[in-house]
Order: sequence, then C-alpha cells, then structure tokens
Amino acid sequence: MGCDVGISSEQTPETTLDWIDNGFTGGGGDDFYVGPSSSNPQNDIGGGGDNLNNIPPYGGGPVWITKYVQDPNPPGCYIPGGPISTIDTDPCPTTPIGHWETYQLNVPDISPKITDPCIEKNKIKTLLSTSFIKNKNDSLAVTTSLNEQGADIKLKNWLSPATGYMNTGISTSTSSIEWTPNFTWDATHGYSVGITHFHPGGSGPSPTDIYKMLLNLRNSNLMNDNSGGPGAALQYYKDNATLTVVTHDAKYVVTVKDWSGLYKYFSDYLIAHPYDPSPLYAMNVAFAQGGTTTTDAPAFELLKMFGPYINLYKATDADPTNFLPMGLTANTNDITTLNCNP
Amino acid sequence: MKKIIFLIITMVFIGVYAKAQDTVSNIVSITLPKKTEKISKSAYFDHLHRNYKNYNTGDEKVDGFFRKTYKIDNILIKFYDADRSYDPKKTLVKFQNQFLEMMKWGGITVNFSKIITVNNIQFLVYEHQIDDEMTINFISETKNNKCITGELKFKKADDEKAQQILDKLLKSMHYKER
Repeated sequence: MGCDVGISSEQTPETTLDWIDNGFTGGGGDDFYVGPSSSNPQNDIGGGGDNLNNIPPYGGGPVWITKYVQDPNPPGCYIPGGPISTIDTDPCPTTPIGHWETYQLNVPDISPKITDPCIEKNKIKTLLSTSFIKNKNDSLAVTTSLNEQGADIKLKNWLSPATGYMNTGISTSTSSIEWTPNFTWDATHGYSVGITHFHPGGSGPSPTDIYKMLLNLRNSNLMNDNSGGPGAALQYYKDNATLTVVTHDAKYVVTVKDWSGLYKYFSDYLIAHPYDPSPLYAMNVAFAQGGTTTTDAPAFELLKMFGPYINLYKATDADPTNFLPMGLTANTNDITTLNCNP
Repeated sequence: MKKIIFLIITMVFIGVYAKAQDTVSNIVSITLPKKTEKISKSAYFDHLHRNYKNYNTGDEKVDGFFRKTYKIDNILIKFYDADRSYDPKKTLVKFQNQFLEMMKWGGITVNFSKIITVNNIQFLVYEHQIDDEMTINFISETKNNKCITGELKFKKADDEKAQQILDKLLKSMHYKER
C-alpha cells in the first residue's frame, strides 16, 4: 500500500484524533494519540495545530490528520492604524481567521506480527552474542553503580545491518530508578534498535521500560523514513527492537510480539487513570504491589500485565548466554521457562 | 433413627476431616488468632474492592495466592506456600532489593523493611503504605526449595493491631520438617 498524501480542504474528517499528554517527558510534542473519537480536531492541544506526528493506526489504511491553516486577510479590509484606502471599508479581523484542512494519509499495513518465542529465542541468543552488545552487557553486569546505567544500541545502517553498530558508550544516570535512552533514527547518530541498561535493585524490566519502546514509534524520523519502501523502516524497528535489562544475577530481553495490543493496553490504562500524578503511576503502583510471593516478582508481574503482547527472555549467571523464553505457569501462580521442546 | 445417627456421625467426621485438611501451610505450622475467620477468594476480593483503592489488579487472575485467605476484623490476611525450585539460592536480601526497587518505581512509601529471625526461621518483613492503606508482606528463607509467604492488608487505623497479629503469627511458626 502506498503512502499517498492527498488534501481535501475543509472536509469534515470521518475520524478525528484525540490527544492526551503522556506526561512522560513533558512538552506538547509528546502528546499521545489515543485513537479515533468524535471530538473536535482542535483537541490537538499540544501540537501547535499540527498533529502530523501521530501514531498511525494499526492494520494499515487511511488515517485522517488535521492542520489549522491561517487564512490571508480578506480583500477590502484595512489594518487599524494603517493607511485606509478608498477601497478598504472594514477593519481586518483582530484575531487570525483560518480553517482546518484535512489530509488523508494512507499508511502501510503494520498489523500485529506474532512471534513464536521458541523460534525467536535463537535470534535473541545470536543478537546478544554479538561482540558489541555482549561487551556492553558484560560491563553492566559487573558495575558497582548504585544508579542505573545503560547504552543505546544503534545500527549504522538499518538497510545493511551487517555494517554494525554505532560506537555508543555506557552512560550513568543520576537516578537509581531511571535511565533515559537517546533514540535516534538518522545516518549521523545511528538507527536505534534497542537499549540495554542496568537495574541496581536486581529487578527485570518495568512497565516504564515497555512504555518507552512504544513511544519510539512516534519518532518522526522513523515514521517518515521511506528509504526501504513505504513504512519499511517502521516495520523493521517493530520486528527488531529489543529492550535489555542487566542485573547482577541475570539478563532480561523483551521483544514486542503484538504492538497493536500493547498500544491498546497502554491507551486503555491511560484513559482509565487520567487524574493520577503521571499516566504510569497507577500501573507502577499495581506492578509494585505484586510483592515477593513468586521467585521473580518483577518478571512475574511484567508477564501478568504484558504477557499477551511481549516475549520475555532471561539468562541467568549460571548459563549467561542461554536466553530462555519465560511464561506464567498453567495456573498462573508463578513464572517459569517455556518448554520449547515438548 | 439409626440412619439419622449415622448421618450425624458422618457429617461430624467429614467436618473434622475437612478441618484437618485445611492446613494453613505445608511448610510451617501456624497458630491463627482466635478471631480469625476463614474466607473465600471471592469474599477476599469483595472486601478488598469495597474498602481499598490500591491493590494489584492482576492478582484476581492468580488462584494459588488466594486459597488460604482469612480475615480478622477488617484485616485481610493471606498465606501462600511458594515454590522456590526455580531459583532456590535467591537470598532474602535480593528479594528485599527487588522489592525496594519496585516500590521506588511506583513512588510508594515503605515504612519499614527488615530481615528478622524467629524460631530459627529467617523472614523478610516489610510494610508499604499508599494514602491510609497499609500492606505488610513477609517471606521466609528458602528451605527444601519452599518458603512461606504472607500478606496483611489493612487501614492505617489498624496498624498497631496488624503489627500484633503479625508478631503472633511469626512467633507461632515452626518448620514441619526438620
């Protein structure tokens, strides 16, 4: 499906976009598309009247986007204080008058791709054995930092992954509970396909980590990169993005197997908790209250929340390169390794 | 008449047998306080939903954690025999570090977190608080790949009472197998 942009001026959009500020990094540019609604397009409160940088709908097809365009002053008006010609009879409007233009953008089909963890684990094992990534993870595993540390994993050329990775370093956060990645998608800074970071408390990935993976889909460079064909860059990211968490005892890797489902899960959660101090507050509170009933409570809670949408792999220090897919037991009482060889 | 007597004896027998089977834990013996009321999983969640705003929403999907559920006045209590065969060497300190990290992610106040020894059993005990809603969790050291875990959920007004109940419960615990 092509990526055609057509202008149908002053049409009433069939669907409009509703936005809420995710509050994650602040700023209007981080408003989060939460799906079609019947609300007025002027709900684009943070984008300066331009909501072109939204997340396209999943499944492909047309998406309506709206942009407020200022009209020129009407003919025959005069600017107060300015010279009045014999032709100008009415003052020009004191506030700009404009109109909403509606664009129809056809996005490629990016339907959920289900990835079998028993097949994907071999890909993960190979990826994590790559010397660049392995060196980063091995360094993080022995760090004595009390704060989070991490490194971006960026390809030099996503169309030719064999050309290797940008030489990103490990940076140390000033916080014990957050490390901020630097997502880029260009030839100069590299093409971010993953991050790896250290959790000093020994926990696996958090809901916030998963949320960051999803937010990357909104990067305009990624969305507008058609160098490999319409939507191919976005699809490449979705098929290859990894999130690694390193602790002193284990390494965890997350991939997303159902982006559409993950997106809906967060959207529903954010809509259901609009008045919390931050959108992820309620999610992290619920997550934290999982306690220590299970052997690996953080991983257990992660799968309870996101199990239908992600694959989670874990390699322990006892067998550090053997990344095994994790799942909940049949009675959902605990976490276990999936049996890939029945 | 004989049938009635037989029926009564049978019912008494079933009742006694059921009581004997309803052990709180297979790992440790526990003496429950006199006012303890055994409640079902649904009654547990009914009380939780009616009285609390903060809880793990995913827990309702989990069955095992809620087979040993009790109530003392308005204090909810649950016990769970946890299988640690997946990672039997994981220490209480590591559990503690993970728990504290998760609490930080949630911005949750931790009132205390300590490792104590009672009757030669090591326990990690911690209390967290969200608004006036309190939770105490405890977890024993791993022995033979098993450990006992538990939770008390209550309002701040019942904090002292909950601490006393916890103290009695922990002091009543003894390993069943030496």
